Amino acid sequence: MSKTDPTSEVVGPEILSQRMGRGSPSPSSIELSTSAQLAPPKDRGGSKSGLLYFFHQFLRREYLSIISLIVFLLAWEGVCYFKIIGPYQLVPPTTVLKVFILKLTQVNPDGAYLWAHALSSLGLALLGFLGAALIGVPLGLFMGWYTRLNLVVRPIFDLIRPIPPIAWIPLAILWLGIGVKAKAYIIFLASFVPCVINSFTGIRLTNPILARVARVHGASDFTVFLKIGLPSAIPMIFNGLRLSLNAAWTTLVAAELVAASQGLGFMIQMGRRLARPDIVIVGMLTIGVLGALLSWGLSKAESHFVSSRRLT
Amino acid sequence: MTTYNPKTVTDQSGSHDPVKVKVRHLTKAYDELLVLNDISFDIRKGELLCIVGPTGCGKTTFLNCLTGFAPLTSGEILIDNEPGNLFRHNIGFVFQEPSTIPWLKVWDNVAFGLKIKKLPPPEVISRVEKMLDTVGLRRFVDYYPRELSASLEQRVALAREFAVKPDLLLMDEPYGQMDIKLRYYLEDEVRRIQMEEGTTVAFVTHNIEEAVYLADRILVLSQKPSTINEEVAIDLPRPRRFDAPEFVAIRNHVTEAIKWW
Ligand SMILES: Nc1ncnc2c1ncn2[C@@H]1O[C@H](COP(=O)(O)OP(=O)(O)OP(=O)(O)O)[C@@H](O)[C@H]1O
Ligand SMILES: [Mg+2]
Repeated sequence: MSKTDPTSEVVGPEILSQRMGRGSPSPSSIELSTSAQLAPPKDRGGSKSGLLYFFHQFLRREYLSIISLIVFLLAWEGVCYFKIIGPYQLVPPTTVLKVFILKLTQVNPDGAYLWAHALSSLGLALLGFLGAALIGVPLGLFMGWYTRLNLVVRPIFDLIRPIPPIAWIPLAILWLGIGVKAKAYIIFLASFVPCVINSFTGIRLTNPILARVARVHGASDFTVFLKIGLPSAIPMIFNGLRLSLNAAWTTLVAAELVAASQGLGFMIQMGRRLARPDIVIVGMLTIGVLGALLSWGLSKAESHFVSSRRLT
Repeated sequence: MTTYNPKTVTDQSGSHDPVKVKVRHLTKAYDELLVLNDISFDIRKGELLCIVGPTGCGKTTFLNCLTGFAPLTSGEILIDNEPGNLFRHNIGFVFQEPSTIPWLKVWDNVAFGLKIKKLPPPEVISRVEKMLDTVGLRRFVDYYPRELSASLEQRVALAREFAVKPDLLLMDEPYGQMDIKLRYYLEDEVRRIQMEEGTTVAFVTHNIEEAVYLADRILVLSQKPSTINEEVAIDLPRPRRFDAPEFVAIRNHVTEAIKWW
């Protein structure tokens, strides 16, 4: 830390003696600090020896999650091995793995390869989600910025909002049949709502002083919206997108359970009909893993937009 | 001990200096709360006017009325003989609250006003670079505001407003966060910029010494509902010294004038 006092560049000691009056402090007693200094590194673990040290290392945070997962799988395997739950209700993880690999190259018993189901589901979810994001985010932002638009749209939105997306399924089938359109529509509805609400809230949280900083220099209302309102709302927009994606994925499976001839929801439904818990579990796990991957992709996109340094 | 006999400067119509801001019968109330009560005064072109008064008397409110952020209840404010218009008048405003833009790095924060005004990029760059040196932010260009101390952050806002070279610069307790050394330096800097650019400055402060040091004229407001207690013209030669007897006399006089208890 050789020279962190920025005023030393511009302020000479003369300035203080010039004015006198009240006992002027000496320049060396004045210190300007920045909060940019890094925290000192944490002391990690002690200096234990032998078996104790090994055990200590073993229980370090990085391993705890892995251990917990292994214990869970072993317990599951055990429950099946000792026939505590019968093979028509539950199959062990080793079988699940076998069926998973088998389903990659085999269409039986549910009519399609696993990856075909997965692609069909993914495509559908992304279609509904992207449609909702493209319409819902701007709508929420504009509603938050322009009070009149909010007054017009709000009553209709508030009426539709509490209806669970699944409740739309019968109507969607009547209108659009049981094809892709009906399901995309239901997924769209489900992910639309969080997009609108969060974008709305986000832009409403805009600091009015910042809006004034732009206005005082002659920014039009729309410029203020773009340069201040929109960036202020970005963290909440991503919050909305995350909830939306979640809703899209959840609703997708529900929609496919009812009206589909392909997709992961359809696959687990077939598994139930054929009394094949292995198919059901493979389908469920695929849904889980893909959902987690989608969330992960979104948070990657978020960190691309939102520098972690700018907030707190 | 020198005593100070204030000159009467209340008759604005007699002045020959052109008027930058003309305030006539300004009244501002928030619902039931009357804040500014029928206030009239002028700010002349190129003048540095300090506004002092008890907390909550409506100093910030006045600046907000001037820029149109708050609607007037009655009366009028003219800038260059026409109603204030942020698209036409070149105004700088250093806010009392922190006003850096959190998602922009220091460099872009300083450039913000210039970019809004759509100045050509080379001009933006040269002005920002110059201002960074003026306020001593050179080594912090790549920091985000949250990574700065309060005083550094305030300097970012100052640089941003100085950079647009406003005709009318409004400063609302700009140096409250700063230590004495930096304050002295920036007080002189404001004065220098004002002389160089011919800027008209309205400077709100609680620090009477600062007001006497900087001002061509001090406006002392009463407690709300506020009226003008007194206008004090200060024609001490510059650079002013805190320990000069005339300085002390004026400071004591203003302190008396501001007393409301
Ligand atoms: N938007 C508002 N709505 C209602 N009342 C307000 C509003 N803004 C200010 N006031 C009130 O008007 C009065 C004057 O406030 P103002 O901020 O102008 O005071 P000030 O002189 O700047 O005070 P300080 O020296 O503490 O900054 C205060 O009583 C305040 O509560
Ligand atoms: Mg104030």
